[in-house]
Order: sequence, then C-alpha cells, then structure tokens
Amino acid sequence: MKEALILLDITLVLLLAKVLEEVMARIKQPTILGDLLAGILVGPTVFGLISSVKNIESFAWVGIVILLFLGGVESSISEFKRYGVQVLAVALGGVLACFLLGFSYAYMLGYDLKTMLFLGAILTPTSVGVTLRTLMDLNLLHTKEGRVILGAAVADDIYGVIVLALVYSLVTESKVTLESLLPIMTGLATILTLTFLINKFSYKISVMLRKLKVHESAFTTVLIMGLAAATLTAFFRLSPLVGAFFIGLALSSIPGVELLRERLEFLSMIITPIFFVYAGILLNPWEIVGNNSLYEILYVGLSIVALGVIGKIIGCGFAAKLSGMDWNESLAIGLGMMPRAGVDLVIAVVGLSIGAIDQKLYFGALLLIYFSSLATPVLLKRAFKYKIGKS
Amino acid sequence: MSFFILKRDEIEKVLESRIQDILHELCPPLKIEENMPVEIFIDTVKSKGIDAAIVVGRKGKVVGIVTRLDLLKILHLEVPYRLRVLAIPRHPKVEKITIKEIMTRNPITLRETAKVHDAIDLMSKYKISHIIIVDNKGNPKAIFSRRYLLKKVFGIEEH
Repeated sequence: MKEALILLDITLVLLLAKVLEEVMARIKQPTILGDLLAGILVGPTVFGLISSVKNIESFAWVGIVILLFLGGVESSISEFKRYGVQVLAVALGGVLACFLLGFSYAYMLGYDLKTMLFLGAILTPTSVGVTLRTLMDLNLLHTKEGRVILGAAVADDIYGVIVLALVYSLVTESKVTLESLLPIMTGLATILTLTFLINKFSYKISVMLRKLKVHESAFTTVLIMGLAAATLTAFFRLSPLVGAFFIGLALSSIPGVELLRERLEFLSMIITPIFFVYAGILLNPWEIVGNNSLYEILYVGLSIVALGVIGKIIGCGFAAKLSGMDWNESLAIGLGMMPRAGVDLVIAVVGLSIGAIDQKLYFGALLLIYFSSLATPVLLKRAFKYKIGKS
Repeated sequence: MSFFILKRDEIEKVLESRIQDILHELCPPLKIEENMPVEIFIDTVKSKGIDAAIVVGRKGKVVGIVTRLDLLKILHLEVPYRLRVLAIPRHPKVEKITIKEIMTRNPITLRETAKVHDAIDLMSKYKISHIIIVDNKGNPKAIFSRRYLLKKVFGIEEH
C-alpha cells in the first residue's frame, strides 16, 4: 500500500502543478507561481491531500539540485565578461540593500543571528521573467534599461548562490572559529580546483564522453558529475546547491555540453516543479495562527514584501544612477529588478528546513513572490511612461 | 531495388575511410568571427549556398558553429530556462544581431584522422547535423554534414 501512496502523492503533485503552470502561462505569469499554488492547495494550508511529505521530499531536493546545475550550464563564464561593470553594479546594489534591510528587520523583530542572516539572504535574489515579458509587451526589451535588467539578472543568480553558500555555512556552524571554517574553505578550494581542472581538460573530457557506448550515457555522465559535485560540497558543509551550480558553470565549457542541455531542461521540466510544489506544501499557517494574531502574521508578511520591493528599487536604482543613468531610467531598472521567484525560494526552503526561519517569515517570503510578480507589470508600465510617451 | 547509389561494399568503404581522405569532398570551412552581423551570414548562405560556418576566436581557434537553422533563433530570444515566462522575440532589427547570439558554443569537433563512421556515431549521439573537422593542432579544416552523407549515399541533393 505504501508504494501506492507514494505514487498517488507524486501523481497528484505533478498533475496539479502542470495544470496550474498552464493557467499561469496563459495569464503571462511565471509558471513557478502555479507550482507554488499547487503546493499550497495540496498541503496543510488548504486541503491537506498529501499522505506524507517524505514521499516527495527526495524528489524535490533532486529537482532543485538539477535546476541549479542547469543554471550553471546555461551561464557561461565568458558571458559575464560580456556584461559590463554597470550591470554587475546594479545587481550588487540590489543584493546589498536587500540583505541589509532583511537583516535589520529580523533584528528589530528580536530574532537571533541565523534568522537575521537568512531573512537578509531571502530578500537578495531576483527573477526577472515577469519583467522581460512586460518589457516585451511594451516593446522596450531592447532599450538600454532592458539590456541592463537582463544582464543584471544573470549576475544576480551568481550573487544569490554565493549569498546562500555564505549564509548556509555561517548558520550551520554553531560557533564560527578558524577550525570550523576549515572544512568550508577546503570545500571551496575543492570546487575551485575541480572547476579549473574541468576547464583545463575540457577537450579530453569531451573525447571521453563521446567514447561511451551506452545510449545517452554522455548525458547521464554529465548529470552524475553534477550530483556528485553537489554531494561533495555537502560533505564539506557547504550547501549542495552551490556545488551543483559551480560544476554546471565549469562543465559549460566542455565541447558538446550545450547540446546535452536540452536533455537536462527536459529532465528539469519534469522533476523541478516538485521542489516548488514542496515549497508550497511546507507553508503551514495554522501552525502559527494559535500563537500569533492574524494581524501580526499579515503585518510581518507585508513588511517583508515592502522591504523586498524597496530594497531593489533603492539598491538597484541608486547603483544605476551612480553608473550614469538618469532618474527615470534608474527607477525603471529598480522596479524591473523587483520580482522574486527562484533562488529566493530555495534559500527560504533551506532556511525553514534547518530551522533558521519560522512559518511567519516563510509566509512573508511566499507573499513577496506573489506580490512582486503581480505588481511588477503594473508598476513598470507607469515607470516607463517617459519612454512610451516619447515613442 | 536498392535505395543506395552505392553498392554495399562501397558503403562499407565510405564508412571505414578516414575523413582526411575525403576532405576535398566536404564543405570548405567558411570561418567567421563571432561579432559579425548576422546579415552578412545570411547573404553568404544565399549567394554561396553554404549551410554552416565555423565561428573562430581571436587566435583562429573554434569557438562555435552556426548553421542555417540557427538563423531561426533570430525569431526567438533564448532566455535561460529558469527565467522563461513565454518565448520572447529578439530585436526586430536583424542588423543588430551578431553571430555570437545565435551560434552553438563549444561545438563538437573531430580530428581528421577519425573515420566516417565515428562522425556518424557522434551525429546520432549528440543529435547534430554538422561536425567540425580539425587537424591535430585544433585548426578547423572542414565541416562534415548530414547533407554530405545524404548526397554521397543516397544521391539526394539539397537545392
């Protein structure tokens, strides 16, 4: 009977996720909002249909490791050289401002250091899918602002993974001493060495891959390399997601890997939504309703939304202004960098699973994802009025 | 009746032959730079009838390959998978798009000493239509394509 329940849970999760993904795609919203909603619906928040979260937990983690690995494969090292300093500065401005705001807010609420670090980290990443879609509708994707936002979003992914790595290591260590940092340093050194070796022997690795006889074994070997790197980083007490991302980045230089990317995307399309549904299932507002008034939960949630929005507008906007853009353009860039729906959720789930954040803050993180995705198109249209008027 | 224009033993011979021996039958390598506007490539495809070009970096090393079919990417912006909401078209002005934006990076290459069946094997493994043939220093010598095979084995010619 146990296997039937596991199958039922997985089928239910995939079915609802894909149906709601389709709905979101039709209303021009990121599909991840559909996955999350599916999780909220089947989880304890609404219907409580999942027999055991454990049944989908392993799939969820494999799914997110694969997504981060794919993220690495899709970004190339040379791509970062292409985007100028301006783009890196805009992304960094947003990351710093959001981190500081989240960190300070958790301090004001009286949380301990690990929660401060995690709330700061949750607010930092950006996911600009909605922005790109809106700019395209306005026919502004190819303006200077559009290019800066697209570039900054790519840089932002890297920053997000680094922030996750740092925060995860700091929080999982009970005391930060030189000795406790040693394995983390060794882990980082190992990943860097691996990246260097893969780059150096990329041609040899590609020759080795093409000699494999079994059908699709080049793809499976690359996938196993990603999983192994993730495991290795976890062994050194770094987040496994960090290893997956950086090995993906290193492997992207191997001849032919770009051709294997399509298979990786296909696999990710099936298994990664399980992680986002899992993220929705983890939300359990009933757990906190008893101890906190509804007013308090909403107050904290909405404050997180406000900080997340203000952090990006101020951080990215000021960085854009400092790099030579005018006020209108800077505001548009700040708003464009506002949406969340990716690495932030990963950080929130990691935070919740290691007990660094509670349900109240987790609720705020999810609220930010929905609010920012729905509000960005409306606000961007207003912000770009100066441009639309001109054209 | 055979579909092939070659006899069975002749096909075996083609498969077993070394690529360096048939280099003269293959497409000469058209080398282009990654910052070249895509318009020029379109003109070359039209005027010379080529179906792929090798993209080389500053030192003449292969950095990518661009084929006719890659031109269709102009209609679509390839945003990273995780950012995708819906397909986004590229810049409406074709002259602003460069080869870099539509090429396949780090393509598969094969030494000229390899055999024809090695190339076919790679094409099926990676589901690709073109392989860059390089010498032992990594300099591109020719492009081995499905088009060549179709012509050689079945006598099918593309117009």
